[in-house]
Amino acid sequence: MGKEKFTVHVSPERIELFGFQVSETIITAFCVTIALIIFALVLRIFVIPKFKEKPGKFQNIIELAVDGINRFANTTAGEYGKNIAAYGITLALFLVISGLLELFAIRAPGTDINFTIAIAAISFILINAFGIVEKGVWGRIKSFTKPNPIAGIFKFVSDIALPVSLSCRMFGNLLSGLVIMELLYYALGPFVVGVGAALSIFFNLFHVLMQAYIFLMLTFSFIHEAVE
Amino acid sequence: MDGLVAIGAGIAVLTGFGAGIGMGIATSKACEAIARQPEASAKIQSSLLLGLAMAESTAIYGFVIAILMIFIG
Repeated sequence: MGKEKFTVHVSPERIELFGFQVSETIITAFCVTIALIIFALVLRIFVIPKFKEKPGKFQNIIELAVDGINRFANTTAGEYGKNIAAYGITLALFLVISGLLELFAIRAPGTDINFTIAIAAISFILINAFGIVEKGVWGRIKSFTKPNPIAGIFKFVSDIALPVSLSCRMFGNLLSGLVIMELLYYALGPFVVGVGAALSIFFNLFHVLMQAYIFLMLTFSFIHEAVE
Repeated sequence: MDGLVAIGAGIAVLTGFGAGIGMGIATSKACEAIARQPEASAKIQSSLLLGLAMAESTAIYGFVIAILMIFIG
C-alpha cells in the first residue's frame, strides 16, 4: 500500500529541551498537573466563599464528587478513610483527565513505565507507613508471622510483589489499549472515521477508568488490611 | 532470528487461556450468589471486581513480555 512499516514505541520519544532530553509523557504530566493546580486555586479562592445553603448546579456536582470519594474511602479502608480520601481523589482526577487526553492522540502518562512505578512506590510507602503508625515497627514485623513463620515467608514475598504487580497491571493495560488503537488507525486507512472513534471510546477511555478504579481499590484494601 | 522471536511471543500470550477460564468461573459463582440473595449484591460485586482484577493481571504480564520481545529484543 506504500505506507511505512508499522512501529510502536514502548518507551516514549524524547524531545530536546534546554539541554535535557525529556520524554513527551513528562511534558504531558506537567501540563495536566499545572492545570489541576490552577483549577483548584481558582475554586478555593473565588468560588467556595460564595457557596449558599441551597446549592446551585455547580456546587451540587462538587459536593457529589467529594461525598462519593469519602464514602468509598470509608467503606473500603475503615477508620483511616478520611486521611487517604484526598490522595484518592488526586490520583483519580489525574488519571481520568490524562485518559481523556488520549482521545486526542496525546500519549497518556500511564503508558510510561516510569510513571506507574512512581505511583506504585507511593502506594507501597503509604501502606507501610500506616501499618507502622498503627502498630509500631516491631508490631508490623510480628504481624507477618501470625499463623506460623512458614506462612510468614509467603506473606512477606507477596508484600514485596505488590508494587511490581500494581505498576505492571496499569502499564500493561494502557499499553495494550495504545497498541490496538495504533494498529486500527494503521490498518483501516481512510475508513477510520466512524469505527475508530467508537472503538477508541472502549479501548482508550473505559480501560483507563477501570484501571484507575482498580488501583485505588487495591491501595485502600491493603491499607485496611495493614491497620487491622 | 525473527522466526524464533515470533514463536516466543506466541507462547508468551498463552497465559490468557488460564485467566479467561478463571474469570469465567468466578463470574458464574458470583451470579449464583446474587441470585440466591439479592440484598447482598453490592458486597458481592465489589468482591468480584477485586478478584477479577487480580486474575487479569497474569494475562497482562504475558502480553507485556510479548510486546517487549517483539519491539525491543
